[in-house]
This record gives sequence, structure tokens and C-alpha cells, in this order.
Amino acid sequence: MAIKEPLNDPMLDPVTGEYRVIAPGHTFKSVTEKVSRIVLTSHTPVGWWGGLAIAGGGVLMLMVALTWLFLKGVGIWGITIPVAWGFAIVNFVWWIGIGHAGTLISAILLLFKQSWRNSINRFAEAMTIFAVVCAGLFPLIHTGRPWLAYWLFPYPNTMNVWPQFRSPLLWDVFAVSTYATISVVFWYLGMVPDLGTLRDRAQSKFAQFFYGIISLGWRGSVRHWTRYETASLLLAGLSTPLVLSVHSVISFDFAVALLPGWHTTIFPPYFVAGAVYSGFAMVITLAIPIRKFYHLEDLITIRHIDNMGKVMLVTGGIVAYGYWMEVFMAYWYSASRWEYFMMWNRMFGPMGWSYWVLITCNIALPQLMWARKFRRNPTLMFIMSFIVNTGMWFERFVIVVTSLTRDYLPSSWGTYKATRWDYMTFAGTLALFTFLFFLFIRFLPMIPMSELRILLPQAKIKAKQEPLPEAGD
Amino acid sequence: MSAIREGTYGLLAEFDSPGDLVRAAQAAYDSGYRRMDCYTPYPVEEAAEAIGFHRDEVSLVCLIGGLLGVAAMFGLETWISVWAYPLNIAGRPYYSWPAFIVPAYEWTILWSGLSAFFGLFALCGLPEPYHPLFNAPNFRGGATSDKFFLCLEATDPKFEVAQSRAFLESFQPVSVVEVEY
Amino acid sequence: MAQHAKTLPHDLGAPEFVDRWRARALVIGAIFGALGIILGFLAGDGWNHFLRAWLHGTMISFGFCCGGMALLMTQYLSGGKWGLLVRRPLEAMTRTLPLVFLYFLPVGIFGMSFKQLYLWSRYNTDPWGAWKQHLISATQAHSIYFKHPLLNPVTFWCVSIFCFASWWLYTHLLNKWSLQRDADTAPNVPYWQVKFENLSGFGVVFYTLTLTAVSIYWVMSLDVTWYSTVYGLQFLVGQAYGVLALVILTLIGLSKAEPIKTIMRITEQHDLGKLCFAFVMLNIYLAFAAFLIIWSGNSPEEIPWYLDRVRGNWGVVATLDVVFHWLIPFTLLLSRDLKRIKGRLAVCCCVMIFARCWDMFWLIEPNFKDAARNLHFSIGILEYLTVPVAMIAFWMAYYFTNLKTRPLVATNDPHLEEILEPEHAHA
Repeated sequence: MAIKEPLNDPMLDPVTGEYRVIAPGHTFKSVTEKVSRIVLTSHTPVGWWGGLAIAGGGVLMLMVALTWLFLKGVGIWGITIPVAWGFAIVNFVWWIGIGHAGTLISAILLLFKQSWRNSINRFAEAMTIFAVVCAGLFPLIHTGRPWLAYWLFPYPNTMNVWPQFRSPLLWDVFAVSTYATISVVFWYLGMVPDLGTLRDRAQSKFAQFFYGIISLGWRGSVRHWTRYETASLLLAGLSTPLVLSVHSVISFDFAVALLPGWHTTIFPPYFVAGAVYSGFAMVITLAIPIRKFYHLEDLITIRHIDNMGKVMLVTGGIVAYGYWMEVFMAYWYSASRWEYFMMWNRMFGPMGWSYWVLITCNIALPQLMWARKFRRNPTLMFIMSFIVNTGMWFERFVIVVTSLTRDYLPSSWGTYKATRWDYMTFAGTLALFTFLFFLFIRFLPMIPMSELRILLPQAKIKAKQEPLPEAGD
Repeated sequence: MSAIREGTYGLLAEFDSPGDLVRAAQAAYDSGYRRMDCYTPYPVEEAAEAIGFHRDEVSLVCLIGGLLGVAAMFGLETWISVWAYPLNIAGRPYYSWPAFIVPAYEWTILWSGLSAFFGLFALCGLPEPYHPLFNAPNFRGGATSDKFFLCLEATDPKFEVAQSRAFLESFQPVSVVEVEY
Repeated sequence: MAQHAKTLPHDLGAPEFVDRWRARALVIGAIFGALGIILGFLAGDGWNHFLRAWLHGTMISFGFCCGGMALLMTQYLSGGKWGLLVRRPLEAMTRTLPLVFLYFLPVGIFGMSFKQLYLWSRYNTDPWGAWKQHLISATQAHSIYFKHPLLNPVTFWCVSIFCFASWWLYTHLLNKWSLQRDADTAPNVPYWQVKFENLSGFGVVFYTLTLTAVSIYWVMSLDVTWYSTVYGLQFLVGQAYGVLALVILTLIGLSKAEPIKTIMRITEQHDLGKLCFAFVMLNIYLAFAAFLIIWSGNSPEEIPWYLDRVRGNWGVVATLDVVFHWLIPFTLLLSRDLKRIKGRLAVCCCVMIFARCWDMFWLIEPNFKDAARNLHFSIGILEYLTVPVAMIAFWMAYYFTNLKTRPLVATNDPHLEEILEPEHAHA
């Protein structure tokens, strides 16, 4: 089957004509060194310090915004009646959505044996956790009295009050807290063997101690590996429906209400697809600079960017389908004048511009990714990832704000304008996300070494003298 | 409890490729060794099968955790909404099972995920920061990066230092070292 | 288990026993078809239940045929070794399109043009007049009036014919190119891969839209007042659910003999089982989410659709729908071992196909006034036990005929080498 054909590009696999997942010529030792050096080096790049400082400045701004909020209350934001949800919920949904790609890369692609995921799953999972941190902040500060947020949990108290389980807002509490917990657990579990590698390769006493503690004494016993593989697959199997459920629960926050523009059955799948869409865009936003600055082009290859582009096409397609079904039903099939008006208002009302921004960024421009040349160009994909995330932010803006400004009763119509505190808080979480990410790439292995080793041709066991054991019958 | 053990923990053979390791491990198992383990820098299923380790209990722990989770949350919701604090919300029944499914589902995943995680480490006996094998310098240098190890443990009834060493050396390992406690 | 790579058998044609399958299918089809016609005379409802059951059989056969096309295109896009296994059976399913079109014709002619099935076609010209005569409710009249640009005979026929024409084009190209690809040499594989990807990428998008259109026209519009934005997506997932079950069943049946015996490894069987599991979950997820939203909203515009399907003994059918569609396959497929044992996986797949038929009954029958919120015995309702069985049996016979016409393994594929390797070749 193997054919001889002169190929100029060493990254192309001669048999399938596909881009390779790892550049040829790597060994177990070379991938280990390449990845662990980034963490264990005593020489911290200047660029890292610079980036951390800028992000740190943004975190300070977030602190200022939050302090003022705690002192004055949510009145400093642009929220009004009827638009009581405003930026806080838009940002919450946006951030949670970004997180989903991380879980998806690690979970679904693991289940479907898409081994190309191995080099990007670790930092995609880290992205998930940091995005959930940013997301979780918003409903918390939006409650008005965040110091009483523990009231959301069902616990016996002197007030003799219990939460109300028919509200999707309470479902959110369980969905998001479960999501955060399981994401951390999955991420950490995946890291344990690599932390063992760092422990064994560390030179400084402190690093040996630090990685020694957090690697839990991992020593690579195949008995442990077998259980570890089972646990990883189980967690992957659990995370996949978890991702679906988390964003579905968030869509219930809207869909369970009767507001036109919110109450529609396509919301759960289309929210999930939108989340994955923006999440993959964020992975691209992060992966392209990282592979450039840390010279990881042979571990995060064009193949990854190409595949992520394909995933974005699919999920973007589902999102477009969702928009289309909403328009179709509202205009032609619902036989409801409220639905009809909602859609007209969304497109041509006072905030109609935001709808067209979202259509441009989420549907029109991403169609460029149908072209292979486009998908395989890191610079263009980097730009596209920003476009998509802008579009996805506006999608939530349209859903939250435009629907709320005009409901059934014209006398209760209103408008919405965000204040500088809204913008500062949003920008502040972007900085917080970046800040955490900088810490992550410096102190933890951002590419899973143990999983990369599996991808190498040396890992294939060749039958030499004796037959291998019977595979379990 | 914490009696300090002394003497030989086992014999550690180092290999360069997973194939060599699996062949040696299979031969050791076939000739009657049972207390042994392989150490690899990434999961090598064949090696686990070679030393007779086929099944693990992580799935069972996970399943039990999940069932407990769903029962706990659904029970809690029903108890709160029907007996402890019944509220009329938009005329929906007190026992609103469609709404209760959502948090119960989340807790199924939470409990089964945490059970799998903690179950894994409990079954593996981790965390265990000290282990005799870490005393072998070549083990620390390679087991988590690019080498493959087979350790025949001294507690095996068939173990006998000279004989076992000869047995291991017949597979042309890179080295065979004796590991002390 | 053989250590060295296996070799592909010389004869790649379908084994002899497929002929026996076909004969059996034809006999079942003939018996049940005759029973259905007898019941049609006995029922005394002007063949109305016969037509409803006919629509049921059409939708199931259509799901296998065009759902197979969608899955075929998806596997070209996703890649993976399982794709190689299922390709030829799926192609055989897609080549049954002419039969599905024949099945559709009575639905269109008697159901719509002769106004037997669709309420909107009966009162299409003057809904408000019908309301004044108390033939329909004000909501129904309003809906028929509002949706007139979409729900009228001309649009119905144009949309249906257009959809069939486009599916014919796709199935034709997918089948033609597949043979051409096998006749070509190995170095041209990347060329064909790109070609199939290009066709399938657009095809999946296009199929999703056309399926949404026909699911609304053929089934959802039976109840003219109700609408749900996720309906088309539910049909899409439901089709994939049924097709996966059928393709696994086919492969398990064929694996008793060459060539499938050689290429069907436990690993790929396990993967297909997992894929099935994914669709079992996806299906219940969409169904439950839509239900939860409408249940919570409890608005008079939407909730009647569920009330029609829950009250008056329909609750039993709805509960069993969840049991067949989700509970049984879920518990069965959860186990890793079960996915690896052929016999038990086959049982699970049969349950899944049965669940599709059960669900379709639950979707179609309560749309009609005599059955809504009132599940009761009549001779007519027995048509659902005969007509769809006959139609599916004839469809199966045609499918088996198509299975015989081509080699069962696509050979010009780089995955072929991998699939012949012994299992666990990768550490």
C-alpha cells in the first residue's frame, strides 16, 4: 500500500496525504525534553514577564471594579428594568461557552480515538478551568450580595428555608459547580504522570519537592496505568454529557421562561454548539501564539489547526441552523404575532445592528474556512478566532438584551446601555484569564508528554521472536 | 505498623523498547513469577496483560458513586419540595420530576467522577511519595521519560537473587540492578 | 488471534445467506401486506388508518435510506476506521431511494392531494368558513390561514419533489464515485478523499435543511397548530440512531462469513457500539430538553401537543417510548463487555430499531382527532402492526438486493491496512 512519491513537505504523511500530528524524527526522550524544558528551565523568558505584568495590571483593574461594586451595589452597572440581566449574564454565558471546547477536546476526542488531540488537550483543559473561574464570577457578583451566595445551596439553616428546585437558576448552581469540579479533577488526573516526569527531571531541590508532592508518587506501574486509563476514559465519558448538560442548563435559564426570543426548543443544542464554536476559537487564539513563541510547531501542527477549523465549521453550521430555525418559525410557521415581532425587533429594532454583527461574525465570515488554504494558514485562523468570539459575544448580547428590552407589553419596554464598570469588569476577566494562563504555561506541563509518547512510531510493539499474549477473548 | 523493612526489594531490569519489556514480562509470568510489575512512561496495555493484570475495579467504584449521587439528589429534591418546604411555583406540582431530573443528573456525574478519581488513587495506593524503586538511579532517570522496566519482587516465592538475575539477563536488558528497601 | 496482519479474502461479495434473508423479508412483507389490506377493508374508516400506518412505514424506510446517506457523508468527513466497515452497507441503503419515493407517492396523493391525512389540506381554501361550521377550532383556522404560503398543495409537492431530486443526486454521486475510487490506484487516494470531503461537507448541510423541511411537511404539519424549533434536529438524530442500529445488525449478520469476518475486529465493533451509545444519549437529550422547555412554559400554544400524547392512556405509550428508546439501550450499552459480544449487541440494535417504530407511532397517531388524548382499540389501529411491517420488510428485501450487487469492502483506502492488523497493535 505504501507508495513512493516525492513530497517536499516533511509534515505530510506519504500514505494518506494528511498532515502529521507530530513531526517525524521525534523520540521518547526528545518530546520529554522539549516539553519539560519549558517548565524546568531556570531562565524565564522576558516576554513571559512582560505578558504577566500586563495581565496583572488588568487583574488590578478588575479588583478596582469589584471593590467599587461591593461598596455601591449593582446600580453602578447599566442594568435596568426590564433589562435586569445585562452584561453580567452575557459574559457568564460567553465564558462558560469558551470553557466547553477544552472539555470537549479532552473528552469526546478521547472517546473517538482522535489522537491528534493529545498535544492540545492539556492547555485546552486549563483554558476550561480558567474560563469557568471567570464565568463563575459573574452570577456571583450579579446576585447583589455575593457574600450570601451560599444561600443557593441546600443546607439546613436557622431560617428554615430551602432552595426552589423548579428554577433553572438553581439548576445552574449544580451544573456549574459540577462542571468546575470535574474539570479540575480531569485536568489534574491527566497531569499526574507528567508531574512525575517533572519530579524526576527537576534539578532544583524546591522543584523536586514541589513536583514530588503533587505527582503523588506516580511511578508508572502498568497496574496503575491500567486503572488510570480506565479512570481517564470514565471521566471522559462523564465529561461529554456534562458539557452538553451544562450549556443546556444555561440555555434553560432562558428557554424555560416565556419571553419571545427565549422560549424555544432549539435552545439547548444550539447553545451547546455555540459554546463549542467559541471555545474552539479560543483554543486557536491561544495555540497559535504559544506554538510560535515556544517553538512547538512540530507538536502543535497545521493538522491541529486544520481540524479545529473543521470543528468550527460544523458547530458554526449548527449555530446557523439554530438562527435559521428561529427566523423560519417566527416569520412563517409560528402563527404568533409575538414571535414575529420579536424577530423583526431583533433584526430591525433599535438594537438591530447587534444582530447583523453577529450574523457577519458568526455565519458570513467563517464560511471562508471551507477553503483548505484558509484553514491551514495560522495567521488567518488566528484572526478568524477573534471574529468568531466577537460574534459569539454578540449572540448572547442579542439573546439577553434585545429580547428583554421589548417583551409582550409595550408599556414596559425599555433600553439598555452598559456603563464603564461593565466594560471594566469584562476586560478585567479577560486579563484574569490571561494571567492564570501565563502562570500555567510556566509552572505546569502544557503538553501531555505521556500521551505524546503513545503517538510516536516507536510505541508500536512489533512481534519479534515470541508471540504476544492473547488479547482478552 | 511502621517497621522499617530492610533487604532486597527486588531486581529491576531496564529495557529500551516496549516490545522487549513485554516479551520479558510474558516469559517471567509464564515461568511462574507473580509478584512483579512493569514500569513504563506511557500506558502499555500489553505489558499489563503479560503480567496477568486484566481487570480493574475503577468502573465499579464509579458506577456505585453515580447511583448514590442520583439517589441522593433526587431524594433531596423530592423531600424539600414535597415535605420540607413546599412552594407553589407557577402552579407546577410539588413533585415536579421533570425539573428534578436536571440537578439529579448533575450529581450523578459529580459523584461518579469523584468516585472514579479517588477510587483510582485508593486502588493504586497513591499518594506514596516514597517507594524503594526510587532508590535506583536509572529508574528515576528513565521510568517517567523513555525507559521500560520490569521488576521481579523479592516477596515472590520463586524469587532467588542469582537465579532471577540470570533469568532477567537472558532477555538482553540494558541493565539489571538490585533494589534495596 | 492471529499475530500477523491478516489478508483480505479473495471474494469480497456478499455471502450466499443474504439471498435467504431477502427471501424471508419478501415472505414477511407479503403476509403482512395482505393482512394490512384485509384490515383496511374491515376497519371501515375509509382506509384512513391504513394511510396513517403507510406514512409511518414511509418515514421509517425514508429514515434508513436517507439517514444512511447522512451517516455515509459524516463518515467521509470524520474519518476513522469504523467508516471503512460501514461504507458499503450504507451505500446499499442509499440505493433504496426509488422505493422510498414510491412509498411517498400515496402519502402525497391520497394523504395530501385527496385530503385524507392533513387537516390543512382539507380546509386549505377557506379555513375561517370551516371554523364557522365548527369543523375546526379557531386556533386551527388561524394557523391554516397564517401558514397558507407554506402549507398548500403546490408548495408541498414542490418541496417534496425538490428534496427527492437532491437526494437522488447525492446518492447517485456517492455510489458512483465509490466504485470509481476502488477502480483507481492507491496514489490517487488523497484526490478521492478530497473529492468525497467536498461533496459530503456541503451534503450534510444540505441534507439537514431538506430533512427539516420534509419532517415539518410530512409529520409536524399533521398538527397544524403546533411548532417546535428543534423538531428537524430530533429527526436527524433519530435517523442516525436507527441507521446505526441497522448497520451494526447488518455487519453482525454478515460477520458469520467472509469478507466481513476478516475485517470486523472487536475494536471497531466496540467503537460502533460507543457511537450507538452516543446517539442513544443525544436522542434522549433532545427529547427531554424539548419536553422540559414546553412543560415548564406550560403555554396553551404548545402544551396541547404533549397532552395529546400523554393523556387518555397515551402515557403508557410515552413511558414505554422512553424505556425502549433510552432505558434499555442505555443500560445495555453502558457495559463494555456487551458492546464486544456480537449476539447481545444485536439484541440491543433490534430494540433500538423497534424503538424508532414505536416513537413514530407516538408521533403520528395522536395528531388525529379520534386518537388524541384517547388511545383506544379499533381495528384500524391494528394497521400499525401490519402496514409498516410489510413496508419495512419490502424495504429490507430491496436493501439486501443492493447489498449483493457490490463487494462488501471498499478496498482503495489506507485504513484497510490498519484494519487488517492484529488488535492492540498500538500500545
